[in-house]
Amino acid sequence: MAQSDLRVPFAGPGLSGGVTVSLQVIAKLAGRAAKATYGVVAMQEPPIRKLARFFRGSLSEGVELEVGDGRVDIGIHVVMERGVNIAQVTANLREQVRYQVERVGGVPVGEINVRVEDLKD
Amino acid sequence: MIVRTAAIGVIQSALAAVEAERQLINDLNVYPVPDGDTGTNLALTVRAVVEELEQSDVSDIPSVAAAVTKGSLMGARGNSGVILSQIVRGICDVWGQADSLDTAVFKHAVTEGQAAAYRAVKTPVEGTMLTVIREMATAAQAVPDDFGLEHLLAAIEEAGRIAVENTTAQLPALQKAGVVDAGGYGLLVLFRGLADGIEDLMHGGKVVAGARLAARVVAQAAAGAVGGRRARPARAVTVHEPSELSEHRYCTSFLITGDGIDREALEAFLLPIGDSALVVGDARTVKVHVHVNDPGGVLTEAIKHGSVGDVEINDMHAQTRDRDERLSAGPEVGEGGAVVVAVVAGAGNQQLFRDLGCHAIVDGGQSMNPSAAQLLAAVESLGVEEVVILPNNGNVILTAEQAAGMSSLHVAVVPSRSIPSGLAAMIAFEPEHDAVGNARIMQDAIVDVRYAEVTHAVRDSELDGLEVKKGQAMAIVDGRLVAAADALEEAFAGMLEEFNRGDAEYVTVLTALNGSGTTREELQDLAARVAPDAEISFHEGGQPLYPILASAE
Repeated sequence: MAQSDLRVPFAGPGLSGGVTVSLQVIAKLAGRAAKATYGVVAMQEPPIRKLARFFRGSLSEGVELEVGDGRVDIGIHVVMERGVNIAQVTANLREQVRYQVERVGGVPVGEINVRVEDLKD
Repeated sequence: MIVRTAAIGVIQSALAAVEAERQLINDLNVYPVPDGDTGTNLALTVRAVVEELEQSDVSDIPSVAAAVTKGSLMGARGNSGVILSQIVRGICDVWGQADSLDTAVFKHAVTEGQAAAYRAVKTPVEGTMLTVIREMATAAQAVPDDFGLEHLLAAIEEAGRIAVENTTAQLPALQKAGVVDAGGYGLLVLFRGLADGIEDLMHGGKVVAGARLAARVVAQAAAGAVGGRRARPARAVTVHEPSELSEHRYCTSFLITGDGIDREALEAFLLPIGDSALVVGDARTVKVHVHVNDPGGVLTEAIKHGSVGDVEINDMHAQTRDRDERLSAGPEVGEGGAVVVAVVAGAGNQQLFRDLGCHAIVDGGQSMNPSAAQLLAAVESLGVEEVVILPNNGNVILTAEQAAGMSSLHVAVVPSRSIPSGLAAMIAFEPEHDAVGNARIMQDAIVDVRYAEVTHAVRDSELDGLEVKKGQAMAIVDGRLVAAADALEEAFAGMLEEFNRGDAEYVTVLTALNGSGTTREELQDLAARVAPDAEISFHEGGQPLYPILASAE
C-alpha cells in the first residue's frame, strides 16, 4: 500500500485548511537537490529498494520517503565520485535536500538518511 | 624542501587573498543554500592545504602535489570546498607528473582541474564555480605555449573575472538576489592570490608582474565589476550599479478555496503572463504564487475558481531598489564585525551613543516602547549580517528579542535595562567582533554596573517600605526605591548614598533638568559633598520623564 500524501497546515493565525503535498513532489524536489549536490554522480539503490520505494510512494530513483507526524523522513541512496570527502559531501547533500524540501517546498522534514551505495572511479 | 617551501608560500598567498575577502564572499552566498559561509568554507579548505604541507617533510614535486591534494580533500568544507578540492586534485595530478611549472604544464593542469571538477557531479549547475573554472580553462587553452607564465595567468584571471560577472544572469537565485556567485567569486579571489604568489616567486618576491597588473588596471578602469577591485570594501556588499530589475514587477501570492478547482487551467492562464508560477494544492485549496506585471488580472481570473484569500503582493522593483540603497550607503563596518542598534530617548543621550560608534538609534524608552517591527526595520536597514541590539529598558528587552527572532541576520540582544548601562555596554563594543562575541563582551561589561533613575511619583504609594506622595521625587536604584523626597536634590543625594554603600568609584549622571527647578551646578556641588570619593561625570541627556539617570561602577 502506498502511503498517503502529506498534508501541511497553513502557518499563521486565522488560516484554516492546508495544502496536501503529493509524495511525488517531495521525491522530485529531494531527488533533484541530491543530483545537483556536488560530489554526487548518480542515484542508485539495490533492486529490492525499488519495490520498497514504490510502496512508499516515491518514484524518484534513490529517494525513499516515510511520512509520519506531519513530517517526512527522507532516505537517499547515491553514488559518489571517488576521491571526494564523503563526510562533507554527505553533509552538503543533507543540507541541500533539507533546504529544497523544507524551505522551497514548504514541507517539514524529519530525518534525512544518506546511504552511499558506491564510488565511481 | 625548496619545492615544499615554495608551494607553501604560493598557497599562503592564495589563503591571504581569500581571508581578506572572506566576509564579502560570505555575503554573496545565496546558492545552493543561502547560509553565508562560502568564504569561510573556502578559507578553511585552503588553510587545510597549508597545514598539511607544513606538517609533511616531502621535497619532490610528486610528493608535494600529493600532499596538496590530500590536504584539500581532507580539509574540504562545504559545497565550495568540495568543488575546490576536485579542481586542486586535477591540477595536482598534472603538476605532480611534470618536472617544472611552465606555461604548457599550467595550461594542461588548469584544463585537468576543470575536467576533474565536472566529473564529480551528476547535474552540473551553470553560474557556479564550475562555470568559472571552465571559462578559465578555455581561456588558458588559447594562450600559446611559448608565452610567458605571467601572460597565461593574466588571461586566466581576466576570463575568470568575466565569467564571475556573468554568473548573475546564469542562475535565477543569483539574479533574484542581484549578486554574483559566491563560490565563483571566491575561486577568482583565490586564483589572484595564487598568481600573485607565483609571480612573487618568479621575481624573487619583488615585482608584481606587468601583464597581469596591466590587465587588472584596465579591468578596474572598466569599472562596475565586483571582480575589478582589490581592496576589501568597508561595506559588506557594495553595489556599484543599480541591480537589473526583474521583467515582472509584482510578486503575487494568494489562496483559493472552493470545490473542484482546476489547477491546470490556472497554470495555463499564468504561464504566458508571468514567471516563477507555482500552483500547488488540491481541488479544494490551492496556493498560487507568480511574478506578473498585472496582479489585478490574476486575481480576477482566480475569483472564477473559488474564493480568494491571504493575498500578498510585493513590488519586487522596490525591493531591489531598497537593497541597492541599503548597500550603497551607511556607516563603516569592521571586517566580519558587528553593528549596534540602540533604543535611546533624549537628544543628548542619542548623541552619546552615536559618538561611541552606535550605528542606528531607535527613538524610545520608558512609556514609548518601540515595536518589534521598528527594531527589525532598524536592524535590517544596516545591511550588515551581525547586529547587536541594546534595548536600554527592561520593557524593551523582550521586544528586542522578538525582533532578533524575526530577523534572518545574526542578531544578539544585550539585556541593558537603562540608558546608562547601555552606555557602559557601548563602551565595551568591539567593531571587529561578531554579534555573539560582542554580546558576551558587552554583557560582561554591564553585569556589575548599578543603574539608577530619579523621577517624580505619579501617584501616592508605598514601595519597598517607603512612602511616596504624588509629585515627590523618588530615587530608584537597581529597580528598588531607595529615597523619596519633595526636592529633586534630596532624592539625588539618596541615590548617591546608595551608590556609596556599594563603594561606587565611577558615577555617570545623565540629566534632563529643564523645568525641574534645579541646575546641573547645584547637583555637581551636592555630589561632591555626598560622594567625595567617587569620580562623577555629568552629561546633558535630554530624556523625557526622568530628570536624572545614573550608573555606577
